[in-house]
Amino acid sequence: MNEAQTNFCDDDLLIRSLDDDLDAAEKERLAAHLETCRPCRQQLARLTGFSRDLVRRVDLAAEAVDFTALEKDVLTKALRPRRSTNGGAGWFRALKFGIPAAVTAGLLLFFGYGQFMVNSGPPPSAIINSFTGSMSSVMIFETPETSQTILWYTEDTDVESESDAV
Amino acid sequence: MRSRWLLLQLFALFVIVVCTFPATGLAKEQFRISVDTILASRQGQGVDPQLKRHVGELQSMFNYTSYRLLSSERLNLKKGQSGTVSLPGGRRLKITPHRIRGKRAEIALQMMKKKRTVFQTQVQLLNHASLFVGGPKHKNGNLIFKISGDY
Repeated sequence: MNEAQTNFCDDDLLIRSLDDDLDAAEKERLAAHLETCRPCRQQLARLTGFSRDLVRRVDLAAEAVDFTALEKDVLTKALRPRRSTNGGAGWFRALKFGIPAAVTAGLLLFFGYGQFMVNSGPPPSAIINSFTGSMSSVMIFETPETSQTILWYTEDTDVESESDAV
Repeated sequence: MRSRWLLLQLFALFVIVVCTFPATGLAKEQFRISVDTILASRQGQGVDPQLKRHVGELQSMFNYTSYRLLSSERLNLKKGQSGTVSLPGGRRLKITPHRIRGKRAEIALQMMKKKRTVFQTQVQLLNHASLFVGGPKHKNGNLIFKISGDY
C-alpha cells in the first residue's frame, strides 16, 4: 500500500466502514489513513454517533407503536373500498349486462321453442271440419313431408257404373 | 300536447291490431280458387311437366305410373259466393268460400254427380296450399282433383 492511497480522504469509505462493508485491504487502508488524518477521525466519530442515535430513536419509536391496533386499522382501510365495490355499484354493473342477457336468452328460447319444438313440421294444407255423403268409403290422410292433405273416397257402385259409361 | 298523445296511442293500437291480425285486418276477402283435374293410372308412364312439382310426393304414396292433367279451371269468388267447376263423368264441384281465419280460408265443397250429391265437406284450406280430392274411377285410372286457394 503506498502513501498516496493512505493519505487520501474518502467519505464513502468511512460510511461503508460503518456498514461493515469493507474488505481486508480497504480496512487496512482506512486504518492507516485514520492514524494520520485527524479530520477523518472526527468525521468517523460524528457518523458513528449519528448512526447510534438513529438506531436508538428508531428502537424507541418502534416500541411506542401498537402493532395490533395498526394491523387492525390497515385491514379496515383495505377492506372498506372492496366492500363498496361489491355492493351497489357491482350490483348495478351486473344488472347492466345481466338484464339484456336474460331478455335475449328468453327471446331465443321463446322463438326457438315455437319454431323448432312446437312446429316440428309444416302444417296440414287443409283441415277437414266436416264431411257427409253417400259413398262406399272415405280416407283422409296427409303426405309425410309437405303435409298435403288428401281426401280419398270411393263412390257407390251405382254411381261408379254411371261414371264409367262417360 | 294531449291530442298528440292521443294520436300516438291510436297509432300504437293500430300497429298492435295489424301485427296481431294481419290476415283478417287487411285481407280483401277475394278468393282465387283453382281446380286441376288429374288422371292417375297404371297404364303408360310419365308425369305431365306442369304436374311434376305437385304430384312428386303423391308418387311415393300411390302406385300409379302415369299422371295426366285433364283440365284446369280458375274461379274468382267473393265471400259467400259460390262457383261451380265441371269435372269429367258428369261431376260438378261447387265451391263456396265463407271466410278467412288467419292463414286459412273456410271453404264449403259439394261434389255432385248428375243431380245427386256425392259428398259435401267444410275445409280450412291454407293460403297458397292445395287439397287433393281423389278416388272416382275414370277410364283406366282414378281422378284426383287438386283444389288450391290464394286469398
